[in-house]
Amino acid sequence: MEKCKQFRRWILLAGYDELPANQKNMLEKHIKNCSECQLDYEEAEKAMRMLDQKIQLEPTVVQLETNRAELHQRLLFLTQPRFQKTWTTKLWQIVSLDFAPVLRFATAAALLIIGIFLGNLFFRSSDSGFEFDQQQLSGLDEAKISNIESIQYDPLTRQVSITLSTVNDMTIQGNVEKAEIQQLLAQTLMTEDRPNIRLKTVRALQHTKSLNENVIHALSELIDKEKNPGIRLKAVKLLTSIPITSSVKNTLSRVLIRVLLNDSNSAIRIEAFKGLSKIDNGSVAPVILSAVKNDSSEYIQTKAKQILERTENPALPE
Amino acid sequence: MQKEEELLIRKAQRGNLQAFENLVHRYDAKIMRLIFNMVNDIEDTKDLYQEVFIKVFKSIKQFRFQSEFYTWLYRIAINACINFRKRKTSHQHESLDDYLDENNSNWNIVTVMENVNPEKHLINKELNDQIQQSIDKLSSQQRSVFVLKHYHGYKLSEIANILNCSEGTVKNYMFRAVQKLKKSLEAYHHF
Repeated sequence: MEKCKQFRRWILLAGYDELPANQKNMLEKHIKNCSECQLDYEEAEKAMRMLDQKIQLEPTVVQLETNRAELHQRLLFLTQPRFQKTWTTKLWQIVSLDFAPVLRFATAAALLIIGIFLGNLFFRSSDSGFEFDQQQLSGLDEAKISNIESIQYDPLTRQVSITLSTVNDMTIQGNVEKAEIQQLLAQTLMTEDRPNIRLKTVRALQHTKSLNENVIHALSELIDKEKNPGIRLKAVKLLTSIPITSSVKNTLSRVLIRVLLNDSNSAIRIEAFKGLSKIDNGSVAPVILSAVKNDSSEYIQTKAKQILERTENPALPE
Repeated sequence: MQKEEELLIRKAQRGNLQAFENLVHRYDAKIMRLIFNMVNDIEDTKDLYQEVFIKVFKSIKQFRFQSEFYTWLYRIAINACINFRKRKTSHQHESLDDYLDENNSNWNIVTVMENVNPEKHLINKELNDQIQQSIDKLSSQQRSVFVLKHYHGYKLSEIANILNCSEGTVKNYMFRAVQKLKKSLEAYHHF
């Protein structure tokens, strides 16, 4: 059967005299012995004869001459100088994007890509922020950071983004642990007028593992000057949360004692008291305790009395 | 390619209108017949004749002498016909009566069969219409191959060059076209 399939294709080719002589011989031999292929051959012949009967129309000379005359006129029209493209018409075609639709689309896409490339090249640094590198830091170290638009901390990347509102918005971005970033944040704490920015700065600093001296100094100044108790509380909490090392111990103690003695907000004083207790391994200097034993906060009073009693009588349980 | 034809093409490529028209006169009768076989409409054939040769005139500079000129010309004509049929969403079938209208006396009736009185074919107009309808139902490629082979007598290798495909592909189109035609004309075997 598979062989017959091949022979049936050959029948068609033979009908059009497109079959090589050897294959034609093979086909003839096969047809003599295969009744199905014989039938197919006869049907193919009939079909060919029938298709040959289709009337074909051929243009007369008159028709051809008419067509040629019309074509001649069209060709003359096309070859007239006004239809030949001069350099000005070609230029106008380019300027007015008078191309085929596909070319127009390609041109638009190319212009868009060029635009994006140029935009990235010339304007990227002004609006999309830049990574804080050492070279830039040296310049910014002394720069007066002002006009801060916002400060944002990304806990996933541990990056702080400081957006400055200048002629073009500028964003400084860097890891919160970096000394230069902490320097900028410290400067912001001391110079920023808007409380929301100061609060965000303190919050950003909360995520550091360690604070440098400049930041501790800035926080200390902030606590002294800050009128907003919420910000002061955050700042005190921040100070009491950092690891206590010998280098920061004295500064921290001084700041917290000032808060404990002077701050009008009891919640802030309690935080300062807790912090002091940690610094002095659970005991605060007796002088300080005497001063605060009459504090308006019952918590501080109680805690101060307990510590004083334990100081006087160490046998008492904690 | 003949030297004379090559010379004409080169002149036409340099913008010589006379040379181009000489080229047209060599092939336009065959091209017109081909177009008619493809679109089956006299008015459309006239329009496509103009369209094809204007296109050839505009693009003749792109002819690189890598193939025979007639295969390049036929390819343009076949593509124009295929595109035309795509544009013309509803294809109106013309009956033999339409061809024989007095207004269309600029066309001669001929057949592939020799020594057959054309008047006999008038009697068989029903068969003629049926064949045309069956050809119309073929795909563009099948119809192109069948028309070029059966009514224009080109070799399969030449058709492959015209359609820019392999000879095997042409054989497949041809085989399928004839199978379809045989099937749709089964009822008319008595003619």
